[in-house]
Amino acid sequence: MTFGFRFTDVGEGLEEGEIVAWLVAVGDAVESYQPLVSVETDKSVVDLPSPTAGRVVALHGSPGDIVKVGELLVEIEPAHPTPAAAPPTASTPMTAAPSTRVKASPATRKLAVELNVDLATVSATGPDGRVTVDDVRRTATGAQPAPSFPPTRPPQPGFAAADRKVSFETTQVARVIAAAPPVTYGSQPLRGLRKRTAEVMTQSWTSIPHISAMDEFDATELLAARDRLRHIIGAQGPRITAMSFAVKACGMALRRFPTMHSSIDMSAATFTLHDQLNIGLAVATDAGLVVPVLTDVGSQSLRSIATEIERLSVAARNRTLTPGELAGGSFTVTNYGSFGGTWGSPIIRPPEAGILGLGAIKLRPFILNGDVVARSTLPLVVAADHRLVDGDVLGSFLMFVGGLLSDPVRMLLED
Amino acid sequence: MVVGEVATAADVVIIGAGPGGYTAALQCAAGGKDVVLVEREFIGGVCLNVGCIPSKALIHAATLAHDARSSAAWGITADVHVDLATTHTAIANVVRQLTTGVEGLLTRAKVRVVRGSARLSNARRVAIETEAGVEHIEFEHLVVATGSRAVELSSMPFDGIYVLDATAALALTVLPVTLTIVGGGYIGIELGTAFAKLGSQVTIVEAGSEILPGMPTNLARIVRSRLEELGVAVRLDTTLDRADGLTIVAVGRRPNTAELGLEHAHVRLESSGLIPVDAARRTSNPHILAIGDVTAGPALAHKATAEAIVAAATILGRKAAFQPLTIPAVVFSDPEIASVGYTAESAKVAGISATAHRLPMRANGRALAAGAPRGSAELVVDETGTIIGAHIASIGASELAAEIALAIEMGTTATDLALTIHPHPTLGEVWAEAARTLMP
Repeated sequence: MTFGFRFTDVGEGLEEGEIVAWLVAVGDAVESYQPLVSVETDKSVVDLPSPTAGRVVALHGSPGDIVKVGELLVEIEPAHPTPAAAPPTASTPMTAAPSTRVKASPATRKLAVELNVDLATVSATGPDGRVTVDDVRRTATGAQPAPSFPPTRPPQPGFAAADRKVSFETTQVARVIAAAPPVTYGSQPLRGLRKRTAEVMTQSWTSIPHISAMDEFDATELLAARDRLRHIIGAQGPRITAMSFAVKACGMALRRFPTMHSSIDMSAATFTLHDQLNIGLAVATDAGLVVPVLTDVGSQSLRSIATEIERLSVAARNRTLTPGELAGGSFTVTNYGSFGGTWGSPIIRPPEAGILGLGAIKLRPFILNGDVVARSTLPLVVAADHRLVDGDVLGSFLMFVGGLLSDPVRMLLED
Repeated sequence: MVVGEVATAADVVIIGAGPGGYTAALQCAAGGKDVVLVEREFIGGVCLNVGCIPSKALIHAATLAHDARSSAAWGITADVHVDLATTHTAIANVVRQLTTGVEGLLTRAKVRVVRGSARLSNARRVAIETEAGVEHIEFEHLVVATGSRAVELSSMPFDGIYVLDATAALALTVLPVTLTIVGGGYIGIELGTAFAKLGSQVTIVEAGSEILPGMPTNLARIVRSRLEELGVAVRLDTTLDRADGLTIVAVGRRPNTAELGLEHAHVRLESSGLIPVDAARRTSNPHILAIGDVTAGPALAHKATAEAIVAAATILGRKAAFQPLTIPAVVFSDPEIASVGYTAESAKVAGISATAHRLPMRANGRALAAGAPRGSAELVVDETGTIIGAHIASIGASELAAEIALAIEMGTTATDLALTIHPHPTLGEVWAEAARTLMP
């Protein structure tokens, strides 16, 4: 008798998914929990494990096919029942083989699991070949082992910090160019994440009358504060970025300007002001744009915001976000500056009413005390739904966020 | 009477309020989940109510009695009477303090505790039979944390009068004059030692060739010779075909998985009754997780607690894996013994070239000063000098195990341990001293 493995709703109210790839072939012997098939759901790709050990006798569907919940995916001839495992006793060896182990503390191993990093692939920089938390992070983000700032070196605000930023961006651009994939020309089906993005953006562009405001802010103090916090937190903590500050400042500004943080319902002729600050974070991935959500930003410290940004970005790139992490956003922040751009015109994600865009922090001519000087600046763009937000509110919102970011100490005064 | 034909909804249902279950409940609640914790007997499970904690309190009482009787060499003599009923009141107070503490934590975390027996109706629904009727709950995730119970021997089924399991033995209010214990595992040895020290004539019957199977044999030998000194008759390679007077049977534990309706929820069960899980603690039904004694590995509270933390992280949508390098094993015998990681022998079997160094506890100032020179401590390193095991028989061995468990998890070398200053005079100096010998 064969066992029919059906596409199950993995618990998020799914109706369908798209087969990305078969991970087994007909005739293969499979073990319990061995992944059988990759399925792309709304925004994540999941590998579905085999519920039983046996041999694959049939696969239903091909990569690209849409499969509905409940439909048969794989037929498995179950293996003969294996002899019962001996009941566990205290004599069961409880130790993994240290000879093959990678030396890493439990905290490092936990982070590796969270970031989907195989410790065996990490090049260790710790004493006696220990893998450190930093090594794991670097592997997760694909960064080169960049010269780190030794803790004995004082943080250097101003030009030095900006120079570092510029060189980092150069490396990134080089990586983007190097990674260009082969192209298939001609007509292609619109699928999965691309299709979803197309639908949402069309809805936004055809239903929301956008207005935008933009300005450039001195980022010198912001970079100094960022470097100072990195120095204090050290390698064990999350990586503090300008983005972490922007999300924090954005949360504070949304409290002051509640219509920026609302949803309109034209058919019911109502709009809703949202209490909980759930800020979406636009993340570019190989498969397209994904927007994981940081929940309840208002109650989070800068440290926990930075931790969450780091975790969600990695999960987005690895496509391991849960549907819950992609839902419930009420405002979005997008950092197109990480690709080097100065200005962008971000599009609001319905049913949200606003979006903040960050340009690259770079040395630019800036007027300080009447002189034109080279200064690290941050270009900000904010777009809002004009049905709910007028230009005065929009401009004030922009200046408020920019003010907090150009003088981060001011954030201490906000709730 | 049926309370609700219609199911209520909960993010997480946890079956079993032992150390695994209540930890998972608290962690899920802290993560913002709406949690229902189902318990049919005691909050705190076997461990807090009728296992680890009361047995340690009984051992404490037995040690007090024994030390009072046997300290003439230190110039201290006493006329000792044991009133086991009063001892039980003291033990009950300890248990109550702990269970009240756990109940308070659950209340503060807004975990809803339902008293009753749970049975899965399908992959996403559980029926809980309570005094008031049956409650149906539709869950997003469910954690099976139902623990285990003593294995019964068909030749001497538990009757609560002559044939007792460990739980019933811990509830004895009259000290037995003679007592037979079937099973020389850690439960049998701990109970046998305690009753012998309280004043019973104890016989321990073990089918194997040494007591404490699974523990290093040199440690087991130290315990056995001490038991004989305490007047306990230890019969190895022996089986009983029927109970011999008052008999405690402690020959192992089996998982409580038979009556949960797991088959209705597509949860695969091995013939041993254990539930197979992946590293994230998911069963073959991804909505259902399992932790503790119902899964493979030693049936120990500290394993269940560690697994609960992983299961809760999985439920909260984080990536997590249960991947300890070692789960310490401890026996509260006399002297206490503890084993962490590899022995030189088990390392060899695993293909690791290991070096061990063993020191007698009588060379340790603190042990001598505490009148407890019995035992030895052994540290094991691999060819890189990394610590991979430690095995100790000593007063305080259970506490001494934690330092080496941390050392193993951190990848500490003998040099690290040797260069870490240990306070003097303490038992823990034994590790630094062993490490000094093993450092290159």
